[in-house]
Amino acid sequence: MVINIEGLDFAYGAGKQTVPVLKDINLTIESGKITAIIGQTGSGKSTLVQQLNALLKPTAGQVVVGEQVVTSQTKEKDLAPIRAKVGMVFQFPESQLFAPTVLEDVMYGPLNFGASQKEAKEAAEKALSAVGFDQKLYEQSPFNLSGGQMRRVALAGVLAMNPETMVFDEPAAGLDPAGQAELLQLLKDLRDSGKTIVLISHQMEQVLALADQVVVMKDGQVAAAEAVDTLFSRPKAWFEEQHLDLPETIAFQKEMEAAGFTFDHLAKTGADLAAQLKGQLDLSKLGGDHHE
Amino acid sequence: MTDAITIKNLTYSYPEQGGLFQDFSLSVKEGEWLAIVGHNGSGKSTLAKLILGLLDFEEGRIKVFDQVLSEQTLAAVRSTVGMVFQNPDNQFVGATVADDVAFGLENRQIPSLEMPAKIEKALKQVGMNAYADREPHTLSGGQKQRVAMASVLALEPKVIILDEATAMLDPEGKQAVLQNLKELKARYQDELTLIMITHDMEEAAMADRVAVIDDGKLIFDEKPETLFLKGERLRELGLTQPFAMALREQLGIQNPAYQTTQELVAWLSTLKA
Amino acid sequence: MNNLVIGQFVPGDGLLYRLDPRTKILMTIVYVFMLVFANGWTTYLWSAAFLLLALILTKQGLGLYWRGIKPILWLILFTVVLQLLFSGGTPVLFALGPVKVTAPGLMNAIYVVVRFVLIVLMSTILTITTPPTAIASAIESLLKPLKVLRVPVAELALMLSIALRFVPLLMGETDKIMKAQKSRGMSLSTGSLVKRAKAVIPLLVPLFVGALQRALDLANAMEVRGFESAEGRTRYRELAYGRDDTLAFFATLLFFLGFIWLSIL
Repeated sequence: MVINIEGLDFAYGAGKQTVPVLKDINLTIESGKITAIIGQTGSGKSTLVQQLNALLKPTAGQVVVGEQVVTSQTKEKDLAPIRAKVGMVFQFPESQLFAPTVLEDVMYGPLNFGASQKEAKEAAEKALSAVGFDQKLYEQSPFNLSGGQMRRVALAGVLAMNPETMVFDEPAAGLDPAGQAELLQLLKDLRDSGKTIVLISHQMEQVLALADQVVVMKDGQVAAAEAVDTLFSRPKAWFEEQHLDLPETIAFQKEMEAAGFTFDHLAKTGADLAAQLKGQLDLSKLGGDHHE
Repeated sequence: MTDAITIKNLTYSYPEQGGLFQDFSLSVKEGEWLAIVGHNGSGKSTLAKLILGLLDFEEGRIKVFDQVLSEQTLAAVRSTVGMVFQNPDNQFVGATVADDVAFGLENRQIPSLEMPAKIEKALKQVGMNAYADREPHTLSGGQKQRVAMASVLALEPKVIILDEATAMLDPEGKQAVLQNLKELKARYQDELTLIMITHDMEEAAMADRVAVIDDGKLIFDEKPETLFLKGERLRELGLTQPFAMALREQLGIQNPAYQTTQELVAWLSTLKA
Repeated sequence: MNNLVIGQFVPGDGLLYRLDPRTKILMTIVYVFMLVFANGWTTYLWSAAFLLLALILTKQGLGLYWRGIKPILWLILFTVVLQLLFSGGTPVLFALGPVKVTAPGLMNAIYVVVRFVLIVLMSTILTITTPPTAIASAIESLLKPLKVLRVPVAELALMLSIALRFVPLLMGETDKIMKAQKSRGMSLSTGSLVKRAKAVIPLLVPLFVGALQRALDLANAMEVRGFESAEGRTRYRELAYGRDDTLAFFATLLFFLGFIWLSIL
């Protein structure tokens, strides 16, 4: 399922007191890929992704989700199928848990979308196991879990609806390095299982490691929408203009290029960068001394 | 140099989950910048709460300068040690920036007439004096954390503990807070002791010394330069190495000295074949 | 996003902004109290004139006040209909079956609307020109005599000001949780009453849990900054009675006397 955003404008408020947030957005979210949305705080990232499942409706233009078209005129009651297709995981999703047990919380979405108790339970168990949640804790209260476990439950709550597309707003925020790595792996696994992933992130390392496509937002407009390699091949000055950091790997590669080293492709990981550098270093120069 | 904070043979258990610290000792010198790192749930934030008497421990002793922490010295300890918490919204007491800085001064019964100057001075130190009349919901996360710092600075503490103060900020907000910390440390030098609780190695690299905690145990206590060479151990502890050090390991180069990214770039250039 | 004007502070620099909040609260109380006794068009006109003076002294555009009235228009309309239909009396101006509109009914309806609008506008003036904290400390100051009765006035005022400070935050939180649960198919607008009440649980529980966490965090942050008791603290914003307040006092007195004179005339 492809999501198309066509000529979209969005403003908060009505009448004279409108605050324009998004201006003339044209985008395609390709299916089966991870699309990262990046940009400074206030550039309109969160507002943009809320158009994808019609939590916000366009002021002008339209969003086409699969077969369905959302415009400013679309009625609330017609939005359920879109919400079922596009799951939304907000920042710190663990702060939305509510049910007495983990299993009941995860079953909430499927039940809302018309699943029977049995179907919902199956969907919930499948989702919980997909996020690596311990089966022994299914009947626990979600409020007795650790922060990391609570987040898994919240992700499972969206995954259980079996949406075709999942939107994540800073999914790794507040996790420690090990927790972050696990979460990123989960996003990759979801993509490999055929889901379309949209990811808002401030962490450029995450974007580089995960994304296929990247959308750069600036002042409510799309500053760039392209493959991740194309984006990070842009000069450093361009990123400074967008107030964005470069991933450390890329920044390092660009510095080394400036120092006369050559690379045949953009290094996505430290290991890749090291492999490309190795042949260009004369380690015999190191000799026995210790370069303090 | 005297010790700002001495923790001796501390034992503490969570009320429900059970034991955390067992015979734990750690000290911080006056004027030192100490980073306490560890994965989520390692006990690092609990340690900060224990120092400020927000939690009661079972055994051991915590000393802040020459005061042994107890019911009687609690007020004195809290006037010596300030703390900035993780969530920018949940520590903003006042209705405006100035009112928030005033809150601590009001508690200390500073006369009204002396407050405006103290508030102005504290806000200037964090670059927020132009925002004195702003309400919290009009500020960014980074700005709120700087106000939280100003609120602590206004009370002229000798020690400031930052408990994951940048964890909820965007990169820009985080950089602004870190830059601000550097400036404060440069200004106050040995008169200000900083304890920074974090799992971010970039932040740990700013400290003079890093204490690594895992499940309530002190695993390492050394300079960042030597700690960062221990890539394998850090990963086992759920932590990371700074980028430059990880890259050097991947190149298979055993250089005993720690290098920042810039230093590594310059050094590798000399090795060009 | 939030168009509600009533209860909101709007920064400005009119004379009314400089008044001691206690003066403004007392003025508003006197005004509302007097309006209850308004008994004819002269007293209403006098009250309207006083309100107009206050409006001008806020130096805010009238559009702001119109926006304040707009959301409660339906309430006003409802009151008018009630008054028109159920006042009784004679002469009957207009009848449709058992429904009669009488002259006293019409007069009553007009008076009720005027009274309602005047009260709403006066309270709006108070909140527009006075930050919530100032209202809280004014209430504390005005209630001080109750301390004799062991009412914890300082604690109550601090609680009030902290509650006010967290209102925008909780509103943002509600919006976010609402959106998250909507994404999971929550629907508040269908089904029986019981079903709808049940549908609010996924909204209320996270909101409550979150607020509790905030409260615990805030308590820690307050303690660390030396908070022990709301009593015995000094004040950054001392309330000060000034020349403008004396002026306002005389203006209110003039209004009061004029009102009495007009109502016994």
